[in-house]
Amino acid sequence: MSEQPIEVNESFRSKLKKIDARDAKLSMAHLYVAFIALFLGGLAGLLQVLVRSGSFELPWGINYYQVLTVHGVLLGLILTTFFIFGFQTAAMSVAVGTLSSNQRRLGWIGFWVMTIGTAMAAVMVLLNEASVLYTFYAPLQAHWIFYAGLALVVVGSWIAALSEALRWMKWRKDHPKQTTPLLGFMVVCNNLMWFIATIGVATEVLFQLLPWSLGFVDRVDILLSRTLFWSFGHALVYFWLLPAYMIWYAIVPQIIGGRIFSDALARLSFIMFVLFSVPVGLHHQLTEPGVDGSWKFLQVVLTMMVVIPSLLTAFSLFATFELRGRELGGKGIFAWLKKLPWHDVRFFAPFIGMLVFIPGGAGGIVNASYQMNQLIHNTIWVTGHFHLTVATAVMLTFFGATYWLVPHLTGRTLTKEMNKLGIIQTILWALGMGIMSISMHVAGLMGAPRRSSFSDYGGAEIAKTWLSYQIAQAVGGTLLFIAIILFLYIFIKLCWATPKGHEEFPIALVSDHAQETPAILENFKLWIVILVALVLIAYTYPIYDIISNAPLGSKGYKLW
Amino acid sequence: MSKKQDTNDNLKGTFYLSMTIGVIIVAVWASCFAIFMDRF
Repeated sequence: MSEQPIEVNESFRSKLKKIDARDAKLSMAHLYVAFIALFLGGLAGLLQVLVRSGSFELPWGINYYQVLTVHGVLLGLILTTFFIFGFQTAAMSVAVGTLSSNQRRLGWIGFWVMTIGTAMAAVMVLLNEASVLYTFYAPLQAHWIFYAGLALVVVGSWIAALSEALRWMKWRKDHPKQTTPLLGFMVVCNNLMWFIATIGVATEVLFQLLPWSLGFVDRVDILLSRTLFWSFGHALVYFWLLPAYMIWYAIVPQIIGGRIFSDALARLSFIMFVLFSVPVGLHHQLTEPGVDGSWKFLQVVLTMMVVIPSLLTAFSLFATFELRGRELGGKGIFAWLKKLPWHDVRFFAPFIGMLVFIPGGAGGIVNASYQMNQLIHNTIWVTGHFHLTVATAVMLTFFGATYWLVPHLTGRTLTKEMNKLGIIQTILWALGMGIMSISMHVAGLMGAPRRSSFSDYGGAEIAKTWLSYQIAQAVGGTLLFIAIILFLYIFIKLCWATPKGHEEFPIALVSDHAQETPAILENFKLWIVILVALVLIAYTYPIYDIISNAPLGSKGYKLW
Repeated sequence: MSKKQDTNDNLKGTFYLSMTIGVIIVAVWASCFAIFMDRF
């Protein structure tokens, strides 16, 4: 069995082990913005759960929906996007090679465009001119600067993605007929999916929301705007998840001293995620009138296809862990689990994230089931669901990565003390999210709505049954905010205070027993054609139907 | 067969854990389906 040339060449690997200082600076710039967003968005989250507990009122006339918008935009869009591009910049630089001056310049342009866009959107939210939540559904109408800011965040991310793609293409040109480094391949997959997905939301913002909010047109087609949003919105979930998968597949095996179970399987999973992340947005609109049921059904089927790469990933990761555990002397069916490095936060945090992703994914299958969606649609179950997936599985993985990435970038080390605090932070996060998310799921099944301030509904009997769960959410949310403070303390220490030294950027080798990776998996021309075809099949007729049967449209509303 | 190959051949734990995920998915889905049937 042969291996990937890049993976076995130890001398080549050693040259790539340490990131170039200029690339490290670019990566760190993204992380600073990401974690400022984490603090502010987390604070907004704490305020929300306290309000919903019924025992706290927002001071100074602050609007609940303003706080909800801050929470959703800063954590769902800004924290994630900035962290992902910070991580991907570093991953590309270490795994594929140092960025050229032009590529780095593009990276900085992307960063500043995203940052300016973030500032524009944030100012409008803080001025209470854009309390439209992170989905910014029309006919709620925000100030045009909010939409322009979000558009700049997307454009900036395209520029950053281009910088990374150019680096990968340069490697490919320099190493003809060789399989590209796995981590670089994964970054390209994620950026490709992101680019295709954001076309829909960019179209919505540029051709619907901006002209409407600027007063150039009076009315907006609500259904079209929501359909364009969700053509992006579900892929956004995978844009969050795929970097976590990069860490699970390519980083965690090195941390535990093991090997990647199969390079080909990892690449196949990523290709499947790319193909089945975009043409599936209608499963977020299953109760939406105006879209024919057969198209919803088609997209539900395509949605369910992601179960395959998800289970491939679970199998591959378990196999990596079991092989390593047995190598260390673990016996029996499950006793090898004890041999894994549970005291190493770089493993512990992402592993807890993986575990939580199991019920998170199971809940997602319920959400996407055509009929059962009625059971949970617009209830707080959905909020509980994405707090398991993005806010736990993804975020714990990002936290775990931060604990080695930041000292690698700053030339410092993850000390035993910081490692211990990281373990405590992980446990606090898992506990807080467990309490909050389970409460959300149960209350959702009992009919409690999402996106609603206190939900007492004038003392309605059914609303009283939700109250204890809302108090539990406040308890969980408080633990989460404490975990955020602890995380930021560790982050600051890793930036400026822990001893100087070299912290590894762990990139795993592929198992000696893995088969050679088929070249077709790197044939992006083929995958792009299939992806575009799937998107066209899934969306052409529904959008044609929406446009050709368009109603008068709606004027804008500011209900806050 | 070398010891290393013996080790690598043993993925029983992986098999059972993968099956467990399947069981969890089915159990969550079936529970919600039961509630759905009860209500609609």
